[in-house]
Amino acid sequence: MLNKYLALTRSAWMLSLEYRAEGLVWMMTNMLSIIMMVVWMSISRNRSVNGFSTGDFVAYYMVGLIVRQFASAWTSWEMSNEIREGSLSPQLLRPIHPIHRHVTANWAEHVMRFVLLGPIVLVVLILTPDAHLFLTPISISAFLFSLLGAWFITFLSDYAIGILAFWTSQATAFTQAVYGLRTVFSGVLAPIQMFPLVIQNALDWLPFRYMLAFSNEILLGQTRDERLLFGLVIQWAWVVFFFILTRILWKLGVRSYGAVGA
Amino acid sequence: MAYQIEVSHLSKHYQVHDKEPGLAGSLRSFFARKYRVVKAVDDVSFTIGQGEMVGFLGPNGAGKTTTLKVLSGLLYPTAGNATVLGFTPHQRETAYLKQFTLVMGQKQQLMWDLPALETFLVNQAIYEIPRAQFDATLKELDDLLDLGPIMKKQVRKLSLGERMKCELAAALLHRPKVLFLDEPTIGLDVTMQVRIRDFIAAFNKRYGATVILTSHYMADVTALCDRIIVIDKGHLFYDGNFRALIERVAPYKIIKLQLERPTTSEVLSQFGKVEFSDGLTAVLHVPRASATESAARLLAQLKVEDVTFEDPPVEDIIREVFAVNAASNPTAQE
Amino acid sequence: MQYLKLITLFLKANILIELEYRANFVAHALVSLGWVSVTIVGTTVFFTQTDTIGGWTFYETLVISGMFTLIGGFIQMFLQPNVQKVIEMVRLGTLDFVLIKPVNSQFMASLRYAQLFSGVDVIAGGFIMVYAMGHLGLTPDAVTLLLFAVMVLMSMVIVYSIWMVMATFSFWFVKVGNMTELFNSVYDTGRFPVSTFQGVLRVMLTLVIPIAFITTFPAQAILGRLDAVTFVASVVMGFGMFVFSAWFWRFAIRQYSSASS
Repeated sequence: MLNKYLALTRSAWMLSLEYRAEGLVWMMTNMLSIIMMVVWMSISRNRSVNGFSTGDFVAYYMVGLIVRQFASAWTSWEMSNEIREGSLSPQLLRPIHPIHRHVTANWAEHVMRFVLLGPIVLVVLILTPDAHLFLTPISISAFLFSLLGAWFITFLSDYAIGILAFWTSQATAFTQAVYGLRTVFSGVLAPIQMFPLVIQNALDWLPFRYMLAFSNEILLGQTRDERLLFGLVIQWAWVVFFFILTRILWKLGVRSYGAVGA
Repeated sequence: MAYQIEVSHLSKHYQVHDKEPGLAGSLRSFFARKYRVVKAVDDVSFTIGQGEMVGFLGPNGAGKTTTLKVLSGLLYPTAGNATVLGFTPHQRETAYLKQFTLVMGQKQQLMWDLPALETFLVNQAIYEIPRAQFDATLKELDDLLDLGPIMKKQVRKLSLGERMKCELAAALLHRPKVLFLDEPTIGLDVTMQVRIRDFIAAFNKRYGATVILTSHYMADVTALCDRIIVIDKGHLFYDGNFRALIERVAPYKIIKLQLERPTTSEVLSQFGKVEFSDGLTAVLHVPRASATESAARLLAQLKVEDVTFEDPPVEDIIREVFAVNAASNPTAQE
Repeated sequence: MQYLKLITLFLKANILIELEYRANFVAHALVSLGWVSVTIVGTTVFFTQTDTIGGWTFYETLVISGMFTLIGGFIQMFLQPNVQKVIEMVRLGTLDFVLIKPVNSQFMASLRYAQLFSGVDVIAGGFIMVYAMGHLGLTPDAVTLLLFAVMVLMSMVIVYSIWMVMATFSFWFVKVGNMTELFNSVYDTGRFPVSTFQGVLRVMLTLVIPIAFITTFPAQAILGRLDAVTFVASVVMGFGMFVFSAWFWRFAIRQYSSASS
């Protein structure tokens, strides 16, 4: 299994090197985060906003860039293309589940982008005077763990949408709709603390916060102790949920795909 | 006007970058790409008169499509000249664009989700075809291609052959004087190939249009073109009568035999050159001139279950041409 | 007129295609409404924490949101589908069919397809603006409306030119899709008044990727706050970018003709 993964990762890596200008351009799609950061900075120039200083906003969005970079997925686009064009069919015959190829493609891009993005984020964090991170052994390990959880939720939920392409040609419309919800409620537009309390409470139980804001909060020291533990439990419950969901959807999807005889 | 198409010393070169294999190679070409000049067409000259039908032959990547693209004005020649109907194609003058057409068997211009008729109407507006002429041409194309039942169905619901008929119709509505047909029968079944071939011949007769045709199928070329131009690696290798070429490089026919009882190669060799034999089946090459006589003799003397006579496949002929050419002119092979 | 006839035919073809895919309509209308609410919720969240952004009050900012939604709809409706098609045609080589037609190739490549149901966004954008204007108690006079109309037209010409330039890049790069993504994310700055941004960023958004001309300035026009310099600059920017996009397209086709096989 490990060997297969290495081989797949290698070819995915070569592919991402092939299109050289791509990595840079993709990175810049994080513009939305940066724009929001700038807007919040302009609002918090003279006073703190709900406990956030200008430096806090910088730290929040910089950590956010890394998290968002890591927890991103675009597999549903590829899958709906592959399913529509029929190029998924031969893959179903290979002795390895197609999800593994998608996972490696996802990782390969992450590595590429992280190499480019990491240093920039670091420099900005060092140069911004009051951008403080809360770095303790516990917070760092919890952050890494939450990052993994964020990746699982993002990737699996996107994969689940991709599987819908077995039934409908409108799967990418779902992707867009979910992307919209995610933009608002995962903490890209604004840290969760900026929302009215009712929404904040609801977001504790929904998956969106755990795709981004939760990890940011851990590293900024805003979510600690019981809140942290509670968050991790909910996050991983969502991971398990999406894991089971994709498995079931995949089984049903392949069956109905085979029935059509495509 | 002497010639409709004149090509003299035409060359088309372009750069490609090579990707080295492996991860290290990827990294290296990420930073410093190596470029290489490909000579798609190299110093090619020929002329074609009005109403002529000429077949372009050559292996994949020989430069056939590139030549057609230069003649269509899609590509600038690197060197040399091309003139079609008195125009220089790459200047793309409207007057020129209205007088030729390009059909690519592997690509389609029809709007996928709509009936072909919609594309016809768009083309009518694009080529500014007067209503009466449009109706008349469509009627004639309908007679020749039997479009009636298919042009009102969505293109994506048509079979490959039906789609090709509509592609041809869409490309010919403006009654072009020159037709560039790049693999118009590719992927079609034999009946449909014949259908399309007959159509091209009929169109040529009726409108006196000049046709350049490339095809993988020998039968297309034999049925339609007296004259062929053979190109390989960008060089022109042969320009002339097709029959003469076959007589010269492949002066034989292929006889495939299915025998009732095992027969040795020695016995078979008295009828022709034995290319293959496993007792019950055999493939013979017999001289073209004496093919009929050999066949008669063979049928009289052997118990034959099944027999077919074939022309040598076009790829083989071309290979022979290249072999002959390389032998007589070794510098031609780089 | 040949071009008018073509536009009519293209429009008819697009209507037929959309009737063909009726299911799309519902899905896309929902997605559109979703995004409109994202825009409004986004703006509202900011104003729970502050009274003004870059000197603009809530309802004034909402006028910009309306403009943002309207132009976003225009992009989805005309630009995105055609640009996608151009990219696809370059990849598959079917652009050749466009180039051999005796019609301006940029016209053919950029006005052929339309995703008519994105008109939902255009209408929604209009509603948001009317609603916000109502709350501000403003009724624009004829001159203001005329100025606004010109500014919206220029805004459309500018986004059209930007998208055409991006499409043109597909002659050289394989995955131009990413570039349009990039534009979309920069376009997101258009939700806010350009005065929100400081320093280099503001200059970039005004002159390099002129988002300010696309949303902020037309909003200023309808609010009756347009100065002569901005108006003239918009017109110049619109014409300039259009001319550039046309030149770049021709340049790319020349390259394509001499560098490919």
